[in-house]
Amino acid sequence: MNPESAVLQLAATLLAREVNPELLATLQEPSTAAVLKQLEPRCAELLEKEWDKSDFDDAAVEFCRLFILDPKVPARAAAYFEEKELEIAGRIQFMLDNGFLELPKGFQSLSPDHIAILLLVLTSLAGEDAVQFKKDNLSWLPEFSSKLAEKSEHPIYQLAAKLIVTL
Amino acid sequence: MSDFNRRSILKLGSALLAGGLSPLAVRAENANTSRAVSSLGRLDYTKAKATPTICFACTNHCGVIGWVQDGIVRKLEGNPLDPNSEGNICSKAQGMISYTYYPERILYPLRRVGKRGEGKWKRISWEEAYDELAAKLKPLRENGVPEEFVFHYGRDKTKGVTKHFTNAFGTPHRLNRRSICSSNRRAPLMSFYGREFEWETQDLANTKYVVNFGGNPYEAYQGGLFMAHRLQNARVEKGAKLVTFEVRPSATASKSDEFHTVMPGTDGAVAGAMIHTILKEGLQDETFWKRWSNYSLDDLRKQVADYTPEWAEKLSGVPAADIKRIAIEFAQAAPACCSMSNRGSAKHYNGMQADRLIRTLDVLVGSVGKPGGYCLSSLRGWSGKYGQEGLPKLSFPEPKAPTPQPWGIGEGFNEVAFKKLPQEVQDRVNAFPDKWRKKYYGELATPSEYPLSWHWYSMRVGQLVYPYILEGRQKVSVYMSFTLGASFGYPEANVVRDVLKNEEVIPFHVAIDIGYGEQTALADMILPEAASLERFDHHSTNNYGLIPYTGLRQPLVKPQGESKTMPEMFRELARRIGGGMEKHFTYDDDETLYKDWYQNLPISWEELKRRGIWQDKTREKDYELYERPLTESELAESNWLQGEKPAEGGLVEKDGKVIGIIKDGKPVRGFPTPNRLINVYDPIFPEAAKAVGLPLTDGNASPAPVFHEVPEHVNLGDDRYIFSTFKWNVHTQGRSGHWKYAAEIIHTNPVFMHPETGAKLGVKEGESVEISVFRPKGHTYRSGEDGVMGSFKNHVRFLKGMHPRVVMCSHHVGHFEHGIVGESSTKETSPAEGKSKDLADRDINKNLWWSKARGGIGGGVHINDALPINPAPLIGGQNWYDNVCKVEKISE
Repeated sequence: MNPESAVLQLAATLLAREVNPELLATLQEPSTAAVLKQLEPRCAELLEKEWDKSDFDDAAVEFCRLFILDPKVPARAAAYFEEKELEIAGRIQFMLDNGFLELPKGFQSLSPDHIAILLLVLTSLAGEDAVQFKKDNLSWLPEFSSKLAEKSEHPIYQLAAKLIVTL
Repeated sequence: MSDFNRRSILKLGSALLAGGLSPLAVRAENANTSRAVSSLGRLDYTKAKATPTICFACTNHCGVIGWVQDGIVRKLEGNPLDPNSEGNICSKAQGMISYTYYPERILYPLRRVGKRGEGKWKRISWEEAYDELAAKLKPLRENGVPEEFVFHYGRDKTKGVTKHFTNAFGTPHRLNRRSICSSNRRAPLMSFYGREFEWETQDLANTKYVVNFGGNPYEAYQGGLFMAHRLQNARVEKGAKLVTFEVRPSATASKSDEFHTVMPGTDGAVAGAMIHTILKEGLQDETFWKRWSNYSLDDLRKQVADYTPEWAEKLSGVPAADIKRIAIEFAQAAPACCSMSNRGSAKHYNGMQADRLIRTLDVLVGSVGKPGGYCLSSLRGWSGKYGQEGLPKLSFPEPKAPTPQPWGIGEGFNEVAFKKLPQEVQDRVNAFPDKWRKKYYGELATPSEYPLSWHWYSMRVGQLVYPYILEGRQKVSVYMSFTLGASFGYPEANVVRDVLKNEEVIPFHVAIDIGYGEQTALADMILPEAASLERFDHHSTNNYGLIPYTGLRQPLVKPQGESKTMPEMFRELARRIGGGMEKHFTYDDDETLYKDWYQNLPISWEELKRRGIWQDKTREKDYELYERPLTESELAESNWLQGEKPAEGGLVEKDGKVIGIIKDGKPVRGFPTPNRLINVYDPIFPEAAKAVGLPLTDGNASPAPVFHEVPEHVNLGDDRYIFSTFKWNVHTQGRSGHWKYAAEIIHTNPVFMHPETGAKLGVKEGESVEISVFRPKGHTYRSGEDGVMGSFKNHVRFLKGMHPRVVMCSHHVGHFEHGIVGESSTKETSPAEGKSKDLADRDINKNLWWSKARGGIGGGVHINDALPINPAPLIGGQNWYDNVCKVEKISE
């Protein structure tokens, strides 16, 4: 895995599931945390402290509010297109149905056009393939990230918004 | 961003890798070439796969064929193999696609984080959900108080799975919503024809004449789609006549050959006058009546002596000459004629007796069971019951769980639970006859003031569940609601919400549903159920073609997100609760369970999945089931073959059960009633009245069918009106408010009134009124309390054909927690400026043109808080259509 793919995977994971101890450990790893604090200073405290249950709950509630229940920032491509809302989902579903795509645990129940799946697919592509894939499937990324920046009230997801802008 | 460049990305990536980030196991091939291969959205019949299943949009359950492409259901069509629908479907069926891909659908288990009702949730895993729920349920069972687990459903078509779970758990509390819907009309049917026939199956394809008392099969009726096309064909092709008595020009009334506007609650008077006329004209089928009725014609004559057409005209407003003419036409068409009735006649204080009078019409003219007449056909279950002889047995294939012990004093009773009941209740139950004591399971399951709500089977009195919990009639530790919309759709829904918010009386509420709504909003945990297009269910219902059939609901696509089916949820819960429960849930997966369920069918599982329907077309139609001789095997070891043979009219018994009756010296089936006759006269009504202290002068206590006025309608003041409700053809109660195409057609619920009523009130079309509802006056819940019990404001729409004393709204819309489409009435949730303005469905974002924020009319008004809980005496069916109200113009 190259460094760019590692960042894509981190972004995909942040958008696929709530912060759990494992993900928190990744975020709080000192050299990683240093870069992330530079990216989003508002998350500095959370990247330094030891989280208790209420910290995990706060992040989980925000995740649910943003992405799960009556989502304020839908994480599906279908929300960002006027006409071809089924195209991206259909394309990924086709790959899944025909054995061209296998997803890890934690991603399998997501909608085929979920941003986390698309970012994850991108981790396995390089060069022109990656460019073409982004063009076909992730043109809505800027709109998604600006919406996330606007709606998120929790530093971790403010961080996620900034991270996505860089992709 | 400006400070964060490619170098920073590389730095972050390197840090992640150096920090030990484990690469996720993703494998992607042909990521770009696949875009050319995929059909990209449009339905392509050469690529899409067609699979039969059963619609779940309403109570009809029509066979449909789903077209799936790229893992998405694109289209539903009727299944021509379905002998009930005969390939027809309605607009509601298309709602199933909206329902499945509802952008706010719940896809993961959720746990409340803030206060109950605050709206703060977090996603949890199924393991966490199961473990927490099992940890709450297990001690109840281990400590001998399983009844503190209350399961309450709104729509349960699992056909046995949930009952299997509650029985295995040991709780009698599998509550339903039958009283909200139809118990007032089912009870008379079961009284007349027996437990097996709580619903009739008119032979509409061959009928010549239908007299319809407030039924609306062209729009919304259990079986309506099956009835409407047969009835329409009979009218067009065979000249059949449809006469409708209704308070408004419903779709059925408008399409009838004759439509007569009636005063609410007077259908029984019209039916009584028809009986009077038929007898006076000598048009009765005396042979049939004497052979099969338990009531003498002389007694019937006396009973209806005063029910002249002129008397009925004064009560109902229907001209006496019309009543007389219709009665004669109806009788002359016999036996190819039938009555029809539903909520219109039955959802009144006097509805049960009104339906008994209506049912008497068919018996009087001898149309029962005859071609074109009022037929009775196998309903459901296929367990070898009456009318199911010769059908393969289909039953839940798991080891049967014992039913809970009835509550009471003595051996075999649950004394512990019984003694927790208020003394007044204990005394009442102790005085019950044994037949009821042995069926009594506490006040939620078997409310003692309404013994006929559970005399035939467990219809319950759902609208009293919440007040009873609040009163402490039953301690609840875990309350599980399943596809239930009580906090929106029940009468006094505000009481439901208050109780659900009260953590002292409902310590834990787990809601199982597809989407977020008023009920799930007040839960502690939400479990997402797989949608109907994603799961198996067993289906059997009465066939208006009169030959029983069964259908298979099967998944067209995988459950979205992490939603799961009830069989899977309950299997996992049972295994965690343990203590023997797990022995009743041995199946490995849903398909194995359902395959075993259908194992006795003469076709293979694969063939059933391919066809979606099975029926033995060579089977004789269900005409005159009562005249069919008992077979030799049925008679084996009966009193017909052993000992003294019963005389003419005597009962054939076997193993202590009555199985037939002697007619013309031969043993035949008769009807599945205790005396094998049609019980036009039934002493169960005064018996129940005496048991609960209902005065025998109340019409509900009459053993013979009788007309009695709705108490609060007597001497109705000139400034008072009857507020009534109705269903639209594109909606299913409050469940469909979020189906986008259904909501686009009907999204609001104006107050319909006759233009003359508007003129009297000084209201013009489009102006608003305030409707204030009063409590009822009969022997019912909080009867006679003074003052307005609830009110709401809404705009007016004129409709000629309405009864001038009636004002009316539909009850489907006006949601306040039901997703962006369902809530489109309020600015804060409108897509143009609201909190939910971006959904994974741009069609909704773009096209919710009726939202107030876009200058539209909004999403309707919630009316159910303003309608009183009003159970009919003895039976408990909600008297939805009795509400006396005042109507006041709102000054702008």
